Amino acid sequence: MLNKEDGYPMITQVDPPDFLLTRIRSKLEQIQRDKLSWKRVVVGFATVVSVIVLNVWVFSSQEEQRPASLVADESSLIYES
Amino acid sequence: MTNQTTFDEIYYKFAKRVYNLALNYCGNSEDAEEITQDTFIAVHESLSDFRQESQLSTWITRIAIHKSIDCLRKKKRKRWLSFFDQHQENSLPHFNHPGVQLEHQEEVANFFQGLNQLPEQQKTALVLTKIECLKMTEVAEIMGISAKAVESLVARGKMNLEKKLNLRGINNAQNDK
Repeated sequence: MLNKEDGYPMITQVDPPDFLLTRIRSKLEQIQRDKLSWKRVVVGFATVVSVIVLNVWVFSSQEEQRPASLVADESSLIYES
Repeated sequence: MTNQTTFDEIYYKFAKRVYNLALNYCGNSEDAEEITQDTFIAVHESLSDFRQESQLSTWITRIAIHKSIDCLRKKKRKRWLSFFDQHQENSLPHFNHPGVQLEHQEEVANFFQGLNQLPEQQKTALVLTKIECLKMTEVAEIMGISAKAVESLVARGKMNLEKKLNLRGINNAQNDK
C-alpha cells in the first residue's frame, strides 16, 4: 500500500468509533461535576475563614472598648472624690 | 442554539479529521481514541476563548497535533521508567492502524517506526503534507511558521527518513541472514 510515486504510504481514512462521542460527553460531565465540587470546597473554605475573621474582629473591637470604659469609670471616681 | 448542539456539530464535522491525524501520528487506534477525546475536551473547554483569528479547522488541527505530541512524550517517559522496572509491562507503542490493510501492516509499521525517530517538527510537516495531503499554506498556518520553513522541514524530514529507512532495511537484512 506504499505510494509508489514518492514512497509514502497511502492510508485509507477511517471513521472514528461510534462510542467515542458518548465517552467524550461522559468525560465532560465528569469534569463539570469535579468543577462543581471544587467550587463547593472553595465556598465552604471561604465561609469558614470569613466566620473566623468576623469573630476575631468582634472580639478585638470589644477588647478596645473595655479599657476606655474603665478609664471613664476611674476618672469619674477621681472627680467624685 | 445551545452549547451542546454547537459542540456536537463541531464533533461531527471534525472528528474524522482529528481521529485520522492522531492515527497517522501515533500509529495505533487506542492512542488515537485518547487523543481525539483529549482534543475535543480541550475544544469544549476553550471554545469561548476561540477568537476566530484562524479557521476553526486550523485551530482544532493545532490542538490535535499538540495532544498527539503530548501522548507520544508520555509513552516515551513511561518506556524510560519501565526500563528500571523489569516487572512493568513494556509500553512500546504497537502499530495497529485500521486504515492500513492487514497485508501491508508490517511494511507501513516499518515506515512509521522511521517516522517516529524524526524530530517533532519534521515529523509533523511530513505527516501533514505527505500523509494528510494538506496544502503547504495550510500546514504553515497550522504549525505557525512560513510556507518556506515548512518546505525546508519537509525536505530535511524526507532526507532523514530515507536515511532511517535505509538503515532499518540494512539491519533487517542482516537479521534475516
